[in-house]
Parts: sequence; C-alpha cells; structure tokens
Amino acid sequence: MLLLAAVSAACATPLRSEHVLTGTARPAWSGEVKVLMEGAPVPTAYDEVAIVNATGTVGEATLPAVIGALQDEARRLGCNAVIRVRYDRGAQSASATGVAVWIN
Amino acid sequence: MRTAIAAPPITGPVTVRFTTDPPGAEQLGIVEAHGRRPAARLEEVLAQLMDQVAALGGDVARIDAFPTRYEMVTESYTYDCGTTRTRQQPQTVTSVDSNGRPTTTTQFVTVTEHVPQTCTGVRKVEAATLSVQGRAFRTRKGIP
Repeated sequence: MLLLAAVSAACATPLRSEHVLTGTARPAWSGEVKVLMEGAPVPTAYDEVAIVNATGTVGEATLPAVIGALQDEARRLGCNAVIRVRYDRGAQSASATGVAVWIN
Repeated sequence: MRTAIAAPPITGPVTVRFTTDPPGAEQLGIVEAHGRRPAARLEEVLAQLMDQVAALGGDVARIDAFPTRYEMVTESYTYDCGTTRTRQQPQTVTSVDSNGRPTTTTQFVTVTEHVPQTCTGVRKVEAATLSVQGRAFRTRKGIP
C-alpha cells in the first residue's frame, strides 16, 4: 500500500528525487548510505522502507550526482543503504532507482 | 498477464515487496506499468501496477525490475512568429492661428503595429519512460 509519496523538487530543477514508502520511515540518518547495484549480493537482514528514484538533467546527468541524490533521499527516510540500484543514462539525462532499506 | 487460474479481483490493500517473494504465496501473473517522466510520478506508476495486481486477484506486488528507457522523439510545438507592419494613417490636427481662428489640417503619420501569428515547428527531444515490472501474488490471507 502506498503510504506516502513526495517529490523533493520541482520538475525544472536539474537534479530531483522522489520516493514511495512501502515500509516505515525512520528518523533521518546522518551516516553513510551504502549503494548496492542491481545484481550485487544483498545483506541477509534488512527492512524495506521505500522505492527511491533520482533524476539528473543537463550538467547533473552524471553517475556521481544521481547516485548522490539517491543516497540523500534514502538518508532523509532514515535508511543506511539503497539496494538493487538500477542506473540508466540517456543523452541529456540520467536516473537511478533502488530500494531504500535499513540494514540491521 | 495471467499465469495461473483466474482469481476474483480483490478490493483490499496491495502490499509491495522489492526483494523477496512472499512466502507461501501463489503467483497469479506478470504485471507491468509505464509512465513518461518526469510528468508521471513514481507513485503513479506504482499505483498502476498495484491496480493490475488487484485486478488479477492478488494482494502482493513483487517488483522485479524498474528500468528507465531513454529515446529521442519528435514533438511539435508552437511559437509566436508574429511580424510588424507599418502603414500611413491620417491624423487630423486642429490649431488656432494668430487671429484666433481654428484651422484644421490632415497629415499622415507612420504607425507600426504587431501582426500576431502562431507557427508550428517540430523538434527532437529526449523522452524518458519508467517501467515497473513485477509479479502478482496472492497470499493465504488474501483468499476470500
């Protein structure tokens, strides 16, 4: 069930992120947020919190910018990792989608 | 797409799982939803998928993939292509001479005016489409 969805920035901004909660958000996390790409082994124990997406356009259509935005979105949800991260790139924009989790 | 025998649609909530199949649940079918980005929000694409799961009689959506496809598409657009036009316009001027008599003269002045026009052009733009692919499951508790 969709509990909450939020768009963090307006459409016109070069870097934006959003999420849909599928679990329970935790207090914001200020530590490291691990990124595990699609196909990488996932930890054995974790809680699914949300699906998160980040999109960058123009100068922000880069892997570091988009993954950084994805980590920030997860951090705001109190997550310490984003797993199953899928990164796709076009000519003018790039996006990453993953599952924000809390690894116990 | 249904892959199991028909089950009645459910009206209850559909939960979403991203990383594991629901234990002991029956797989009912394969589901997919798309949305043109950035107009379609993630929430809307996911809601579409959950509607499909519910229509198959499922109560759990297991998300298998969420690729974004980029492609160049041709779109039309309109723009203001109005021009300006100048013309001579008569103007009547009334003045009073030194004897106090009014004198009326007509002179022509140049007037510039905007002629509105809307033109249509075509351009190539990059379009992003987010797809969410998954499977519909029915858990034991979802069976009526």
